[in-house]
Amino acid sequence: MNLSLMSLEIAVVALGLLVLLADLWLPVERKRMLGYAAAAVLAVLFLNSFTSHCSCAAIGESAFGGMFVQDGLSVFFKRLFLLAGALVLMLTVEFSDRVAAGIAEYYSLIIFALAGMLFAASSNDFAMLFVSIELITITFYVLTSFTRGKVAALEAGVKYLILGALSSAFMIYGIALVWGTTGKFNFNELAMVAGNFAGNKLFLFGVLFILVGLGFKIAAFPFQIWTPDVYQGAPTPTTAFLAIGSKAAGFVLLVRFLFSAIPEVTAQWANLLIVISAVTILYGNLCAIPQRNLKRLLGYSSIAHAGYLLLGVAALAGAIANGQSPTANAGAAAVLYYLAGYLFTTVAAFAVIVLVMRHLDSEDVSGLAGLHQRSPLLAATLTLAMVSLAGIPPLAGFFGKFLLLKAVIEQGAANPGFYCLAFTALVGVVISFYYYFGVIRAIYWSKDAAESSPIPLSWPMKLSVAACVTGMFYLGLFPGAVVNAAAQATRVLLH
Amino acid sequence: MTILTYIFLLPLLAAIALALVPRNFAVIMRAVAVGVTFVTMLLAVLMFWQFNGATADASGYKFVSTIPGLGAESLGIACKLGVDGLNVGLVLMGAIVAFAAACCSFEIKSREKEFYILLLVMTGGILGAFMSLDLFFFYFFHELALVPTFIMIGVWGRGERKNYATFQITLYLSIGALLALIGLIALYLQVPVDLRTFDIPTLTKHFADPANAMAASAQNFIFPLLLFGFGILVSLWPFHSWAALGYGSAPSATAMLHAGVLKKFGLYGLIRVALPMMPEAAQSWMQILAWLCLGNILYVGWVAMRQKNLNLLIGNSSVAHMGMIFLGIASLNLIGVTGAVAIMVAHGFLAALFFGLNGYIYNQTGTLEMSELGGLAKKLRFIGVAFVMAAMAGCGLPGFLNFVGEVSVFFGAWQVPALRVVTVLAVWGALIIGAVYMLRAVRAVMHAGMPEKWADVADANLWRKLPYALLIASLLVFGFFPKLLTEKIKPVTEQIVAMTKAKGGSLVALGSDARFPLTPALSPGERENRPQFLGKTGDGNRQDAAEKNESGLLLSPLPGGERRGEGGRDDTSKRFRILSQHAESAAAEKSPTARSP
Repeated sequence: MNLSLMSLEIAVVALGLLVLLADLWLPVERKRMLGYAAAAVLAVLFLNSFTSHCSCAAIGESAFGGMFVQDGLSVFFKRLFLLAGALVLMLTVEFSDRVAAGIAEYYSLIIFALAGMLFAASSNDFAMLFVSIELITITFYVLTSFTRGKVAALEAGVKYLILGALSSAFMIYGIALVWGTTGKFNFNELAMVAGNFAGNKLFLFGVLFILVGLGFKIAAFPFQIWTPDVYQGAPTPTTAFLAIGSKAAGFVLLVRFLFSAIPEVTAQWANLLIVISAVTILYGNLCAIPQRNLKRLLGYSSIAHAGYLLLGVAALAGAIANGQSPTANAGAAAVLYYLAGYLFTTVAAFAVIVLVMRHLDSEDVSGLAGLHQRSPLLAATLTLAMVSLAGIPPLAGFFGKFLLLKAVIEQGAANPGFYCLAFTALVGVVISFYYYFGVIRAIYWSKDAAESSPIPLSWPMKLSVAACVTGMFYLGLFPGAVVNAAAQATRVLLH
Repeated sequence: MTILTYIFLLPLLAAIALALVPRNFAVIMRAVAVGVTFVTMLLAVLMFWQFNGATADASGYKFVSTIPGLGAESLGIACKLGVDGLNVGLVLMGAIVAFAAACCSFEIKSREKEFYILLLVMTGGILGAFMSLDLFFFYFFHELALVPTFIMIGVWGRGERKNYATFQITLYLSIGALLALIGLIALYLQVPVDLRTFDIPTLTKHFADPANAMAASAQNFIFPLLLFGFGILVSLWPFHSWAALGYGSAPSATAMLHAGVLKKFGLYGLIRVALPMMPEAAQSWMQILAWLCLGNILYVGWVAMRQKNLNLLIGNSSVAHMGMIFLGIASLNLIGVTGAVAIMVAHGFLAALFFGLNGYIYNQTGTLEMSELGGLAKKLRFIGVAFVMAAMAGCGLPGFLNFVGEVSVFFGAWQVPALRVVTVLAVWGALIIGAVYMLRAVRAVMHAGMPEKWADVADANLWRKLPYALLIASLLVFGFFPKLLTEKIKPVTEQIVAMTKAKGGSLVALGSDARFPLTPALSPGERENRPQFLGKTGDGNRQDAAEKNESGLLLSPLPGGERRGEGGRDDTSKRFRILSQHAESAAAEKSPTARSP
């Protein structure tokens, strides 16, 4: 027992409970402000994670018999999640006028999902992995259909519930198979014996089923089917948190499972990862082309981005298969960097959606018409977000894609499949230009604007939009510090 | 911090400053944009003036400076700026064209704020791309300049097919840029892990060392990526179809900056990166490039002849001119490559001039259909004269810089026996086809009878004349005193040509030893002479080139068979040693016989 190692998670859970309790005493008109308070607490926790007071400083320690580890990887992701949680809470406050009742519960559910993500970042054991995933997923079932007056939200909730439950079932089955063949629950112990089971079909099926569960979280092909409907129907802050938080949690679990628990099997499966990555990129980008609903479009684009992120995972698998070099972790480091950039970009995009689409029934792209006159700041923000998602300098998305491509091409010499993957990614990027520029076009040069009233911006919203834009530029222009941090964080994946 | 830092940062900082100005002060936006580009231009002229006197660093670059913080040290990325003879002219040309483009933007009547911000970002990106000595930022700044192009065409563009043109140019150029990006990353990965860097001088030096020369398989993978990636950006036939429509739909300033300056990025990249770092692949691909460039000169020339719209005609002619530059690069000798660089600068001024004039005519008449125009020279005296001069420069009339470049390219290409057929066809295409469509445009727009409706078009006032006068003056100054430019270009192209040729011995390995079957084998005496001839080659003017042309095939590559023996290798390294004035080549060091005089 090493409870102090979990002090950050305990603090977040306590915050969630506190918000629930405060809800009982606060007058109705003040409840909205609870979100700002919670976001401020998360921001303080984020800043505190850089000091030596935080449990994040205790790198290399573990608790509960190795179930819970604190290493560079988990700390990087915890900071990412705290920042995402704070930004999403700010968004939620702005969204709160569209929630009929129980806004405090909405806040606390977001905080509980965040706690699940923090646990996921540290989980080093199948039990921990499953519990943290369920904590995230079950809170998201509620968050997805929170605006239960809307049919679309209910539909999204039901779809997410059914498919989520299915993928959880696969995952628990897989865990049972792996445990049944190896008798190990802990990733480190599993890593010692996994090589012996690389030919065991039962074990491999177990691994495959676990990948199904994780593939559902990150929305990789062929487990992406829920994404567009859920993204479209869910309340916008939920969608934003789903896009960044839930996806990042899926990736930290995936990376830890593939590379710390079963590196030998992963190395064998490099080609499988190449194929999944390539198909995910193409599927996401091609399906995004005809979309008119902005949230649905971002849903498909998030599938494509899962594919881009898998480039890094595949590159690391290839690097392990080819024998390690000092830069073998470049692929995983690129994934971390990309997620950091994706955080700012996605939050910025969804913030604009929350603000602009306030009075519209559906988030149709045409609702953006005339935005450059109604609010130049928001128009510029959404443009920058699209440009960054498309991967164009000088924004974060470009440097992230650059790192991913570099990691993939580096493996090309040993496995030509990686060259094909790089070209597939290239095709995907070019396709994505089409629909991202379609959004920019809707902002700046579509003719008939239905509305021309200026959009009022509260100062906390201005602050979070400014933070996102700064983040995009900082990561694009001065990537050095975060690149180093990501490289440092992923060193644990190389044994 | 050197003068380059200011030239590069000024437009970008001004763009940020403009973002903070409220949008109803359109006059301020315009004044700031014109003022800042003017100062940038003055600084660039000053830099060009001081260039000869400035001290060069170990790799031959001048005014080298690094912008701290930008980039990632752990990956070997640093924002390092510097100029040598190859890009000093391009930077000057870019700054002048940027000022002219800002002056010509009076036609923009809506959303001035966004327009001028994008214009300044584009200017900063362009200048940064040409100055960057870091492979990453070289690409980065090009992309930075490319996105404003797309948005400017989409928002302020003209014509019914504006939307189609926007998407076409966006997708086309993005494919090219990404292909080049993959090539550049692959190039970077060819260096051993602990030496990896994006620094262009270091990479050049690294690959020049025969011990580190890139494997033939890697070269054959990377070079086509760069050739076609950059080729798409430069509208190499058959990847040119975006250009005419894109320029036809763009606002004048965008067309001026893109066709004039930004497009040269791909050519600059080929000369700066692809040739010296991958010499074997370069030599084996040049023959193919030479035939493709005929597609530009002949096919696109023909297409230009059939155009009914003035802007599409000029757009196509600009594509056709690219063929000449490709031919110069394909010749892979001092005169040819130097000529190619000279045309790059000349075409920058010329394309900017043409698109600026078109913008003026469009602004006055509201159309660029040649059937509706006519006789405008009666009313537009200054614009008419400028237009005729531009057309003459486009035909390659002596006195303009274009002539200097084109004639050098033709002389250079003629010296390569394998390219003679191509050269003959290219000369024919450039002189006849070029003259036909240029003169046809002059006749249709400026002469002939003037329809009644154009009776009230007005000539440019003094202020509007300024950008056109400036561009014509630049063409004439360099046309009459080409040494100003070629003297600076020559040492660098000499070095690059030497590096590209130095490893010609492995042409055999690439299975192309029959590439230059017509070259007569040189006697040992002639071989001795060859480096000396090269040493004083090309004092920059045409006469020299002509003389050399008469004196034989001095610059043509040796037949592959000659190089197989030890003697051939000595010859190669000796030539290389004499040619590289800046960096002592490891090739020469390795070969003890080459050291003795």
